[in-house]
Formats: sequence, C-alpha cells, structure tokens
Amino acid sequence: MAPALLLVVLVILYPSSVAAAKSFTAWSPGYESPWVGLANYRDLFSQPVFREVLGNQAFLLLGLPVWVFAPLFVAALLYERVPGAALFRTIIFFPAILSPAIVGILFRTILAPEGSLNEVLRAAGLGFLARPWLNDASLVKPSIIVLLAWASLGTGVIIFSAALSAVPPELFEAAEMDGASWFRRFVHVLVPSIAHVIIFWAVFQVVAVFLFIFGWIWVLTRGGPGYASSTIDYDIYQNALSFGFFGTAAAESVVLFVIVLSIITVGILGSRLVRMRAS
Amino acid sequence: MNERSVSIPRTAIAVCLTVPFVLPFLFLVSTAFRTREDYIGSRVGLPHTLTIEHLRYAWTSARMGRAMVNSLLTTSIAVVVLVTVSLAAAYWFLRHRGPISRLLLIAIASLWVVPYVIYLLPLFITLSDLGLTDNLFILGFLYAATNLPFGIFFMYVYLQRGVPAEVREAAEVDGASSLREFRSIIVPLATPAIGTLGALAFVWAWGDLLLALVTLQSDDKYTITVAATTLATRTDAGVQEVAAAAFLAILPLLVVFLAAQRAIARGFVAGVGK
Repeated sequence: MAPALLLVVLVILYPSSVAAAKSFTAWSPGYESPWVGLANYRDLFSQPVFREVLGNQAFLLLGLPVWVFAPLFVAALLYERVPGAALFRTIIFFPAILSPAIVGILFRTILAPEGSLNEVLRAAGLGFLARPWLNDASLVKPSIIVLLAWASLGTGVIIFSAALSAVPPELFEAAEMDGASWFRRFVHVLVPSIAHVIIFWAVFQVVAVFLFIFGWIWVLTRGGPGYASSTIDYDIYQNALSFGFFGTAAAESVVLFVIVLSIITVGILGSRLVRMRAS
Repeated sequence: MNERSVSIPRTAIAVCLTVPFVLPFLFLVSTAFRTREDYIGSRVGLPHTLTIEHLRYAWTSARMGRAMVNSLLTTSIAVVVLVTVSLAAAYWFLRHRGPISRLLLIAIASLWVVPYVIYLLPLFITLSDLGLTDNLFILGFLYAATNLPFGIFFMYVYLQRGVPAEVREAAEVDGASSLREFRSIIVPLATPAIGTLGALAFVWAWGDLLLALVTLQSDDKYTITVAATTLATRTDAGVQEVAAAAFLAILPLLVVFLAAQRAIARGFVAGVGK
C-alpha cells in the first residue's frame, strides 16, 4: 500500500495542488512567484486565443453523435448472422491501441494537400472533392472529428458488443416476432437495453476530447492553421513550454480540471436518472 | 451469437466497414518498402519493388533502433511497476475493509480523471531541480504512477469477484502469513487480470507522447513516439523514411495486440463499463 500511496501523492496529488496554488501567482520557476489573485484567470479569459481554443473544443463535441452511434450501429450489425464477427471486431479494434501520435503521422501523409486521399479522389474523377484537409481552417476540425471516430470505433464496438451479449436474446427475438422493423428494434429495444453503457461511453468520449487529444494535435496540425485546431491541453503545453507563461498555463489547467469534473458529474447524474427510470 | 442463417447484406456491410481500417496500414507498409522511383511513379498504386533502404535509414540515421531500446526499457518498467504496485495495493484494500479504506480507494480511483497537463508542469520543475529529467527509469515510474488510479481500482474489482472469501479465510485459518497468502493464492488467481493490466500498461506507455516530450531532452534518450514524431516534423526526412519509422513504432504493438487482444479488450470494457 505504501508504494502506491507514495507514487500517487508524489506524481499526481502533490504536483496538482502546486499547479492549483501557483495559478494565483505570477509563476516563474526558479524565481519568486508573487501572489496576483485572479489576474491569471482574467488574462486567460480576455485572450482571443483562449476563446478560440474553447470554441474549438466545443466544435469537436459536435462529433459526439457520430462517436456514439457509429459503434452502436456496428455492434448491432455484428450482433447476429455475420460469420467471422469476431475477426471484424479485431480489425476495427486495432487502431484503438495505437498511439495517436503514430497514427497521426500516418494521416498527416494521407490528408496532406498532395497526399494519397486527394490523389485517389483525383484518380477516381472526383478531383473537385480534393481539399487541403488539415491546412484549411474550416476543414481541420471536421477532419479531426472523423479521425477520432475512426480511432475510437473499435473500442466502442467492443464495449457495446460486451453489453449486448449480456442482454437476454429473447428480448430481441420477441420484438422481431412482433414484426418490428430493424430501425424500430434498434431504437426501442436495443438502445434502452444498454442505455447505461451508452451513457458511460458518451461521457468517456467527451472527457477524452479534453484529456487525451494532445498527441493528435501535436503531430497533425500543431494547433493550426493559426489556432483553428488548438485544444486546451495543447494550448497549456504551448503557454508553459513554448512561451514561458507558467501562471497562465496553471490557471488554464485548473479551468480544464473544472470542465472535466463538471462533465463527469453531469454524466453520473444522467446515468442515475436512467437507472431510476428503468427500475 | 445467434445461430440462424447468415445475412449476406449484413456481412457485406461488415466487409466494407473494414476497408478504412485496413487500407491506411497497407498504404503505410507499401510506402515504407518500395523504392523512391516506384513511389513517385504512383504513390497509391500497388508497389512493384521491394527495398529495406528506408527501414535502414529509419533504424540507423533516424536512430529508431536506439529509440526502440529506450521505449522497451521505459515500457518494461511501467508494466512491472504498475502491475506489482496495483496488485499489492488492491490486496491491501481487500484485507482492510471499512469505511475509511473504502473512501481512500474511491479517492485514489477518482484521481484517474485529473488531466496529465495539470501536474506535468510542477512535476517537470521538481524533476529538473533534482536533476532527474532526461531519465528513462524515472519516465517508466511516471507511466506507472499516472496509471495507478486505474490499475488499483481494476485489480480491486477483479480480486473482489475472483477470490472467493472461503479461500482467503482458509489461508488465514491455516496461519499463512499475508505475504505467503499473497504469493501462493492471490497472484495465481489474479493471473488474467495481471495479463490485462500488463498489456494495457504496455500499450499506454509505448504510445505516450506528452510525458516523454516534456521530460526527455537529449535525442539519445528519445522514446519511439518522440523519435518518430520528431522525424515526421523534420523537413529533410521524406515521406518514405517517416513511413518506415511509423512502421517500426507500430510493429511491436501489433505483436502485443495479436498476443493479448482478448486481455486488452477486457481491460477496455472494464475501464469504461464500470
């Protein structure tokens, strides 16, 4: 028990508290950090860049329906009457364990203006669809949403498939006997039967957009063009380690933590509500 | 799985779905292993040549070989430390049940949602004051520590379900010391969970960019993700060399994936499904 506590306190708890405390100071490592109250927070929220970054995060959340319903649909598809369903799940799952940074390298090449996606489009006579996917301020966020959908599909399918296999099959068979269409069965039987897992997955996806996106941004766009794809975690890294604004970065980390905590609280309340209704 | 007849439309959709999950990797391999002339001639067509020139460049000039050894070192430390410490802590929680230890467990588990970037800066400053940055051993311990909240909770849930109370009681009646009980009863019973957590730790530590980027400075300490991404953003490196580097970074993960796919899937299901 002692080693666990030691590691957790030294690596996570103590440094986090330091960051929170330093967010109220003009933090310059190695020098004195005088108390400045809420100045860092005021600075942060008055920066147009930070507002753009918050806007980017909000925009990325528009991908949520895709990130939730795509794996749900695939899990439902592979639920029955598909030979080799396990193999399909395996192939789709592989990207989930890869590093976003390494997958990012691959897609940087594929999505480049003269990259292979555009080349395929041109070869297929669809050259008018060719775009600078990652270099255009209005396309870069939708492109990232699609990449995140690609990378998370397999995990979602695995999780939803596990949840579906725990549902008594009679439930689905009864609905089929009643002559309900595939869509009606999907909406009225399948979704409610695993509603709590769907909510957990949705919350996890929202949190992931705030917590685990750095690797993607660093490799794909460096937050660009301009700040069009900069996310909070990437902006914190830049503020602290590229520009040396440690106080601002600390305040920004606290804001990030508050956002994540609020999302999780809403998620827990939401799943409680669903369970109460179900019982 | 339902035993009824095969559905052709469903199977056809499933086959189409796998295309975007296979093509990018085929493209990667073909780019990494064809000659320059062949690649320039038709970048997305089928390769007509085979060369390991780019792979050799990535391995030696781009120092991916060195980076791979570094990554294996940090990743092994992360796996061993995370699994051992998580299992020991989970066992402690199993033996000390009560409101206070329960609260402690929840407190530790909830640290899982504290964003990396929050504690990264003070951690980095403390480490550099102590002269401990640019250190692969420290990095391995950092990987273990950052994943401990998940590891401990995962192991606890497994032990709580997997170790029947009678087994522990029998050991206590026979007077087995808790260390012996731990080694002879808990560890064998927890083997599947150890495999899952170990595989997850490998995947996470191998794929990390942020912690490595912040704590490592000299290029002979670079891990595989840092080396590959640095190469990718260098202007003098061509697409094919970068593809070869990415191929080298992915290969060990493919091996781990094929060996431990089920274990990893179990971990993902446990992580989100709880």
